[in-house]
Amino acid sequence: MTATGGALPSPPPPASRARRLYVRLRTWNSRRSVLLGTFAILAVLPVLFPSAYTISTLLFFIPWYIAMTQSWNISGGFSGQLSFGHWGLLGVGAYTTAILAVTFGYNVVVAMIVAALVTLVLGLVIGYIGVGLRGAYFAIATLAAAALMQLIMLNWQSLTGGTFGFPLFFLIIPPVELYYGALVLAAVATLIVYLISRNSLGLAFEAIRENEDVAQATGVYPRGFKALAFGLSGAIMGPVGGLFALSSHYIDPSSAFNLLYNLQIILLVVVGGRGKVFGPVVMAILFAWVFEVALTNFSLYNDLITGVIMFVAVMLIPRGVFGFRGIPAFLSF
Amino acid sequence: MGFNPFLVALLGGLGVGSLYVVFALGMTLLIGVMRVINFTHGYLMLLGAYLAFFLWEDYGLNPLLSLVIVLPALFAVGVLFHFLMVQPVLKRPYFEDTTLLLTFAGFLIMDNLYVSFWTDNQRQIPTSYFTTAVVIPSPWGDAVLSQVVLLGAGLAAAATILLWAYLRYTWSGRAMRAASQDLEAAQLLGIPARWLYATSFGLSAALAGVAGVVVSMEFLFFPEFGFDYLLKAFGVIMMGGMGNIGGTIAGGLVLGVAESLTAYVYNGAYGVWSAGAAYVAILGALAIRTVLKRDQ
Repeated sequence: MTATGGALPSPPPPASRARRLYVRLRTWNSRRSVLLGTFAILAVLPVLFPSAYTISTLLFFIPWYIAMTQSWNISGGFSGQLSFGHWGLLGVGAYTTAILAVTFGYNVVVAMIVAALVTLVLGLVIGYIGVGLRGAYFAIATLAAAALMQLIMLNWQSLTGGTFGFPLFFLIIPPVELYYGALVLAAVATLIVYLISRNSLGLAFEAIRENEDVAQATGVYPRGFKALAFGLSGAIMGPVGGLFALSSHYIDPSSAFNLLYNLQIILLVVVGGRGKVFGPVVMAILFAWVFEVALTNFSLYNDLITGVIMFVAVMLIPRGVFGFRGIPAFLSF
Repeated sequence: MGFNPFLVALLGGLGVGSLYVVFALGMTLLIGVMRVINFTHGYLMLLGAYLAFFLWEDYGLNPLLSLVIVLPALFAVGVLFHFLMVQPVLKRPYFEDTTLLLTFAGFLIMDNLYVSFWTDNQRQIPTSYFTTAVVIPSPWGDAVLSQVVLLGAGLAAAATILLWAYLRYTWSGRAMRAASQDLEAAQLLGIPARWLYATSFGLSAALAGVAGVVVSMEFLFFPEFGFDYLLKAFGVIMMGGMGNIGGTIAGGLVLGVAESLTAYVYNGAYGVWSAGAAYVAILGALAIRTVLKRDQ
């Protein structure tokens, strides 16, 4: 090859001040500070809105949805296991916490930690059974597992009260404490997701999601990693269920096992971006209000509205709201 | 000689199992031809059931005659669903996951629409078939079945045989099998994938319609039935193998008998465990597969 003569291309014109500001903003990449700032704002919220009513009907659901969404994000977003079983883990967590705290009189925090261990084990088992399954088949397996959990809770009447439900009326916890409990859980869940995304573990999960055979050929063992992802994800759902039981004061097999929650968190992860850290948090903050406040006014059409949003989101924005070109880097992670 | 309750449970299970077969065949067809798991299948079945019910209530139409209307209507709905949920995302990288999420959204939408239009009331078409008993004598004691169970089994068998003949002897049926084996090769040979897919979605919905008409005569149905039957179909498919028609037939009969015998053993004393047979079937089939290390 010979070098060609001729004039060099002229240098680009100097950027305007606004343009430079825009580029700086787009490439400002302080993920940690964005996350910390978001959680700091969430921590201050109950101070700004101290009414117990506001906290228990609105604010509580923000960190609660964040924790739930990040839980689905670990298995569904990173390692690509479409789980339709998280509603079952939520119900098991709710019942474990309620039974330990009310029937056996344990401390609520201890009960929730035990619930986390129970759902961790359940998640590992389901994850291990389902490792050979891809996509839709895993979804069916998890759906069946969750339905089986619901059936067991329904029929184990001596322990759970069956269809009569399980009251927690005497276990009164101030909404503020529930809020901060949910916030701690949300922070832990987000931290796990953040660490996974910055770690070789996240790369392994994503490799499995993109192409399991190639992942295995390059030394990533899908069986263990998929079980681990689902176990981690399950461990978060236990306390989430516990918080649900404590905040609703009364659970029965149809309220604690609600497939709609599963769909909502799938929707939040899909819209926020699968395998992202901050997108699902933002979506949970935005949609907690929609799901819990706006929709209670149309509770007859709750499923319908959620389904339509889901349909449109999957159809039009498959890579999530933050997946478009031109979204600043400090938001799209 | 007196009754043999075990035999009654066994035959009743086979009768219900034949209903599961025809219901799950529709789903298997979609999985086999285009790898779409249709979560709305249970609600398509219910659409058939409600259609038959309202044709009977408003026009006094015999549910068996209403098949003439239900089948084309469900076929049209299936084709519509194809162009709504499958065709637009056919080229997406995560095609299976995407259709799963879309049909799941459809499942929620349909559930809510059914409840708001037709309420939670339990409905059934009261036919003389339901109240007429058939006694089947056997050396181990008599078995008594309702006529409607035999009728349902006959309809299911007819639908299964027709589907088999369609796949075996017609051009489009053979094209469907070709597409399920190798889509690109089939397209190279001039098979139009879009219309083939639309047809198979329509056929799948029509099979759900047959199951729906049977359900409308045999059971008290209400919107939650859609979800229960969806899980039963998954159980059948998991036992029979994905997209495997022979396996689906065997799996459906096994599931029907398993549910019936579970109810026979527990006799309703400890709540309803029989619904669990489907879940155990799904998880058991998966666990066995995992142990045998056969990947999907």
